[in-house]
Amino acid sequence: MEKLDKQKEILKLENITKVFPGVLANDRINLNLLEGEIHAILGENGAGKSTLMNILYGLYKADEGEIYLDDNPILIHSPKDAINKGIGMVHQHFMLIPQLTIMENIVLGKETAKGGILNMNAAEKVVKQYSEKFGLHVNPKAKIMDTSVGIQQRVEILKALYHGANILILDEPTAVLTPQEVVELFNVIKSLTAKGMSIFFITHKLEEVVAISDRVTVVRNGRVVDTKNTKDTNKVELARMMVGRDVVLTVTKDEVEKGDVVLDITDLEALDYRNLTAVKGINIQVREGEIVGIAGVDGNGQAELEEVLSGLRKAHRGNIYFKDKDITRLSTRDRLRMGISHISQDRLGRGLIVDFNITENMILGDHDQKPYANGVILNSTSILNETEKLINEFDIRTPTPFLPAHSLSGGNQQKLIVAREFNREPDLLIANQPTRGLDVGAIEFVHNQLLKFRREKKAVLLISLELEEIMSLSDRILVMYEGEIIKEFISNEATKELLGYYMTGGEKKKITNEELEA
Amino acid sequence: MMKEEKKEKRFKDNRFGKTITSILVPIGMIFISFLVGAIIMLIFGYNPIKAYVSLMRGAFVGSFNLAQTLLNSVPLIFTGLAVAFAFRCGLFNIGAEGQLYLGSLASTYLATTIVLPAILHVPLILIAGALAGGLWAFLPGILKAKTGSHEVITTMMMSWIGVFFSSYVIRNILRDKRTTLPVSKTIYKSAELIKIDQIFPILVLKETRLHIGFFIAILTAILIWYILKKTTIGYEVRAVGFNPYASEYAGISIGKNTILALFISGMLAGLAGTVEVAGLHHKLWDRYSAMYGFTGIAVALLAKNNPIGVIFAAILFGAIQAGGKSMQLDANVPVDMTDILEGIIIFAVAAEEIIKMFIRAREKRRLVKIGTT
Repeated sequence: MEKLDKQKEILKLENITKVFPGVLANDRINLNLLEGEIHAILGENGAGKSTLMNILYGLYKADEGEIYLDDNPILIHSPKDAINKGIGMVHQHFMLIPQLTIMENIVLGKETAKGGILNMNAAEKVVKQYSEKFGLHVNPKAKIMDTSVGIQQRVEILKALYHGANILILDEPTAVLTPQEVVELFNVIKSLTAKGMSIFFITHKLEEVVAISDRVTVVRNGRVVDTKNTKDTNKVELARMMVGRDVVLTVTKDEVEKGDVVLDITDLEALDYRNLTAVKGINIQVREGEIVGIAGVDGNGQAELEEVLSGLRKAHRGNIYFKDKDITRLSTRDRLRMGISHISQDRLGRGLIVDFNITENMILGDHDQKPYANGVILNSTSILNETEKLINEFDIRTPTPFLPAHSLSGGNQQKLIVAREFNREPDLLIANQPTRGLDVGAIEFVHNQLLKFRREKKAVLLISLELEEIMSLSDRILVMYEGEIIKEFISNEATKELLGYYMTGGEKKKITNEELEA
Repeated sequence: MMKEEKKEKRFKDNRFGKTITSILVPIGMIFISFLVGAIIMLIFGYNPIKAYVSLMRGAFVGSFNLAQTLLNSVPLIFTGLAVAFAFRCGLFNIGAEGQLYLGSLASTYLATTIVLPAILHVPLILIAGALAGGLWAFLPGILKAKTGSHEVITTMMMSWIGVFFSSYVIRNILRDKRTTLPVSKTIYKSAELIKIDQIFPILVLKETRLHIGFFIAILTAILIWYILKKTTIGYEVRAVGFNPYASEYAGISIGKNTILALFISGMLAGLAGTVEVAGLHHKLWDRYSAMYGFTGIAVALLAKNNPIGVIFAAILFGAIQAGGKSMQLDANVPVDMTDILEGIIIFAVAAEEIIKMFIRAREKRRLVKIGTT
């Protein structure tokens, strides 16, 4: 472990070990945090980095090991404990109350009050103070539900600061941000450390580590591989440490001749659960041998589009044709049997039955077909054989094929879903965030599978929030904003900046973040 | 890869361990319930040891007692299976009582109006009873599938309709005209479920009233276990029970499985009613059911909705009922103590479920929050 001289060690984790049934999540992890540094924790999914941070935040208790704060050993029993000791955490899924204002959310738990009576003027003042001090501009009176994800994240950070954090844990903070918002976040992080904050930055993205961190600790299979000064290493070396072998970082696609139109969506309109129009007249065509990518910030109609395509949501208007057949009114089961597979963005809700074990999840959708079933009777031998084959092929880490799916890590759950949908050998694959939560090695694998599909003249409709993924895999890129396709690119015309511009509305952008704060 | 394999071998396939735990927990709960019962008896000045010994004696010692225990368990196995099966699909069938009576009605009707050789008559009345019970649950099933109306309300309403309807039919259509009592005619011998000691003489159950309905119940439990675990029907029912959204996404019809699950559930309750009449009473008495439909809920919960567990849970409840009289005679404990014991067991089961639901909800929220690890 290398240490930058003149910086004080404010936090030390020594021999942290955590065991879950069947899984050694953290294996004698040693790691420290220096004052004022940005320390990236880099690892695959299932590597144990989130478990480690959750131990630090008091959500789990370590089975072995010690934590030292300023050289004093401490015990952390709960998040409240952690907060009292100055450790704050910003999770991937925000914990804000949409109907309340920013200042109400920030002071929640440590309200500015006297004798039970709230003093909201004081709250507003305090929020403004912190805002100024740390350069996190927000409008204290705005309601959370009216603010963008980028602003919400700032609120989460302000919340942690208000509650007295001087150590901040950021868990995959860029997962929900547009490229511009990521840049803003990085500026915020730099200014926080300039003011004396120390930050743990959990990520599986190599570019981020290289862009922002001072030091990086690579975790693999529950163990620390090494801790290095970021400037002394590079993406290739980091990837090799993460995965244990050399990894291709971006796949290159070859020229494939496109065939007939497989999927033809015409003037599709769909409503969301509030009966507002979520998809406003979309036209998309996907041909054999083509990957069409839909880029867009989460919440612009992609979820509803996916549901209409899978048959779970009725199309309000418009038609969907699959190989020239009108499938607009067809049931989900019929579409599956016709050769359409789906990877849903809602892994736990739609992609898996977490109480079922791996074998049962692996046959979901094909459970009544040969060879899994003869008539009504399930064939446990073929089910087990096929599942074991796929566990190996897709490197799903599990002690047994009968492990209930809820015990798998997020990344391995995703691998299960991908394995299942690919194995069906569909003619059309609709993939929404197919590599979400996967590590570098698994992403490479899935990308290669998608390209293999493409070479075999199958069609793929790819919806993703990862611009690198969209750009490297797609033949054509469509940008979706507020339910419409507002721009189409041939893949080599698209740049991150151009995509980012259209993803936030392009010319159609209504109110900017700055206007909201005024 | 090698190092990973070695590490994983450290943590063995714990499916066996899980089965042991899932048996130990209910046993533990029963033990705690008896303990609480003992405390109550002590408070009122009774001797719990004497009470429990006579309870066990009265339930298991001697062919008459053992037969009584097993006889009590027969309808509970069926209603327990009924409630358990519906639960597996995420549905609360609390109308087993009414479905049971409909089963008795249909089977008694066919058992008192036509004569057939036994080899045809018995299967006929079993099928008729099952179908009648199934149809009674079918309506709540359709209502749930098409309109979303909650089966707790619809099955309960249908239950009372069933009870009073069967009351009417017994008193007016099926009644034995030689008496004013609310009872049907005696069923024909060919429709009876014969006693066990007529097939094979077991010394221990000789000359008791135990009938083959007991074996039919056991076989049915095994059949339901098989359906749930080894067939596509069971797979879809369980899938919908655990996660209707993911099931939909995989092309499984929630509506179809809801209806099917309630239908099968109703059929099982209908069998309860059929077997009681054909095997034990040989006639249909108005309101003969000692709340079997509702006790079935407790049986299902104690058995954790496992069909094989239902057999044991039903026998436990049957034993407590059978041993009550001995407990009163030998230990002077009022026979109502059996009701108290059953109540404590039900509380214990409910408490465990509530605690588990709580833990599961927190775990799920935590998993979603943490998302990718």
